[in-house]
Amino acid sequence: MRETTLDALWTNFCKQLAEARHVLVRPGAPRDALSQAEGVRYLSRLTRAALDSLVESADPDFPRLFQMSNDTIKIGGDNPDNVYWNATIAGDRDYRICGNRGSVPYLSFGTKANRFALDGGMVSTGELEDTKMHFEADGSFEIIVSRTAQGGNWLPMSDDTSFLLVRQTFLDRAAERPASITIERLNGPVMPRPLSSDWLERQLGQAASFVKVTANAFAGWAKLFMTRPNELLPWDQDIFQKVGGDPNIHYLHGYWRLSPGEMWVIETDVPQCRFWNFVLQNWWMESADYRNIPSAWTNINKARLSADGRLVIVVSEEDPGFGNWIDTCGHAEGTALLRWISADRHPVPSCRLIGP
Amino acid sequence: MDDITSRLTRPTDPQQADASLVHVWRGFCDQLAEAGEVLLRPETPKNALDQAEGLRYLSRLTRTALNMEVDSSDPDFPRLFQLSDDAIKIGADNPDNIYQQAVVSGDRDYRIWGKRGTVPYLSIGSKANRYATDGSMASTGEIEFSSVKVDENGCFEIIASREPKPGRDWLPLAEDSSLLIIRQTFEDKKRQIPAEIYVECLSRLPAKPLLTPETITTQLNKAAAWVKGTANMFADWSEWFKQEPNRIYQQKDQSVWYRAGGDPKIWYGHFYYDLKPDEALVIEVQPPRCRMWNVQLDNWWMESLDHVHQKIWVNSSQATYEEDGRIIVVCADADPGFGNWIDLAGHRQGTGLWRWIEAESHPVPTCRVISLKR
Repeated sequence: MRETTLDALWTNFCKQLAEARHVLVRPGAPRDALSQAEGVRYLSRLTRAALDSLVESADPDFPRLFQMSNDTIKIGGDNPDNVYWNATIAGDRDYRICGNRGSVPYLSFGTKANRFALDGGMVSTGELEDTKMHFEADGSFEIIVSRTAQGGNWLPMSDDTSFLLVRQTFLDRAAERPASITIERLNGPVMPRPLSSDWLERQLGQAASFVKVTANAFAGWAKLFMTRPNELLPWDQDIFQKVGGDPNIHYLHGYWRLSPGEMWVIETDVPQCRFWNFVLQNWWMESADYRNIPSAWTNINKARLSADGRLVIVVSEEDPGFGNWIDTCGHAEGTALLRWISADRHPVPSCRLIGP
Repeated sequence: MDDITSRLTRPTDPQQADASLVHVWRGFCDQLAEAGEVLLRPETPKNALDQAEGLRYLSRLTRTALNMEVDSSDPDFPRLFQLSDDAIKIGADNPDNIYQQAVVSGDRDYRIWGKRGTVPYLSIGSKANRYATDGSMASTGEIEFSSVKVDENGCFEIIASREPKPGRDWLPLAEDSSLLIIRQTFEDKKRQIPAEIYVECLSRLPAKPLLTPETITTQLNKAAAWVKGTANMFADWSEWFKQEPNRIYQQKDQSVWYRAGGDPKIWYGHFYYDLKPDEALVIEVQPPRCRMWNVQLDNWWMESLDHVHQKIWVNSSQATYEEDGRIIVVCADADPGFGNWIDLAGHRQGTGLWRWIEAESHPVPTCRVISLKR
């Protein structure tokens, strides 16, 4: 047997991974110790997500559910009220998803095609929501994922579909039970191919590249939002949809910056909607540590509205004693995101600073 | 205090606008690259499959080390994580198990609560984690669920602390305890419901301290050191087993496996297989009375082979027994038509592990190599 050693591939991967460091000193990136430390941690989190996705979960013949983001992997304005599951699939195959509904208020399935090479976008190729699905009395369900229409629960794909996204939105995570989900390919090969070094070299290269490209893409967004500080604006919704945004969601992104003792006050009407939330993020567009910090974000379930039905959010170091307080979590600047979900209109909040 | 010391030690000053941690990420990647040397050790197999799996193994160790050291290492805000799972395999991880870990500290008290589920074996151990320093993980306390009160809703509550808690279900901690390990052992993962478990620190701080440059630097150093240390430690083990190929390794005392974090209720029979094409390893034994047994095949890196898609292990509930009660296990490329086949999954050499769990005696299974050439 031919002798081979692959240590050089590991060295190369580590070298490529190191390239991502330059995002930390991009023009506009905050240079305070906290933002820099969180930036380094963010690179470590992107590394985990990239390796899990591209090395362990990349074979559409043996789809594996994984989490691209979770409580400690935060990417591009991740939603603290959501649990996401992803799987790599392919449009020319058929799949079966089985599971149980649980008690989560919102459950939906989407298939996506990566058309970045064609028109710079990630497009939806099929959507299926809980309200359109059939469940058994015990909450169990089955979905067929395919290009051709099926009876029963059907999630469409197109020829170039490349991944599955499962979204669950919670009102109160501690009280609600998430759905359980499994996926399998139908009529596929029985066993995975043995691991090949060529394939692995390519996947490791893609993983290192993912870390660099993703970090820079969202740094670019933050830079854009910095042109209108301390506002929440619709910008061009196409930007957010093209990277896989949920078509039911209207996104209001912003950049904030406060002097010591200053408060950012956000006021708005609340439209008729299925859900809304407001999340304060660091400059890297990571949500704050919502598992341990209750005032890191607010939503339709947690917030209190004023007597006239308006929503007042106050972003500050300490609880100001009015409105819904959002903790800056030690930051002097960062990004923020307000989502209107399945809303009948999309009001733009009025924002102002109150001095110390 | 000079300028640099004061910047590194005082709380973050948001107005300070001159920091750059570019060198920290660079340093981590450089240190991580050193772990690649394990692929070049003289005894390491140099065939394409074992090398490719070794490379993937380094990426898995990287993932789990970062998850543990960076995002799960604050004992005031414990976070349950899986050090190993279906795609992170370490030190002959058990295909019948789900493992969860949490970083804790011996000078704090913790509440562990949740729902029992129907998993037949559930235990929690507290450990002093010295993997990064001398490669050992000493047991500092154990609690098994046959002795834990479970209420009519299936709920339980355990206190983990150094001081005994009379009248409560209690998991002892020692001064240097640093890790909880929750082990769930299934006869059939598809049928049995796992326990649902939560952990909180009872003496927690009011707020999580802000991340500092020193903290993230230390965490990344530890993560890179852990990848290198862990990969080399189990490569040492494979080299031991390789000295006596195709039989259960008996040159070391069971205490060696316990010091590395093994469960004291389990007898571990590690082995190394080295087979020519068409050869199979046949393992035979008369089982003792025990709660459970299993046997699994691992690669050179001591990763359990792919048990999601391939039949690379067998346990006491799944096995077919001979008329006289003996167990015959055949490690082969294809089903030989007798005994219990477990799949080499393309490997010609690697490691494996036989476990007797809570057994009244520990017979050493006998091994022989046979040819299956037609």
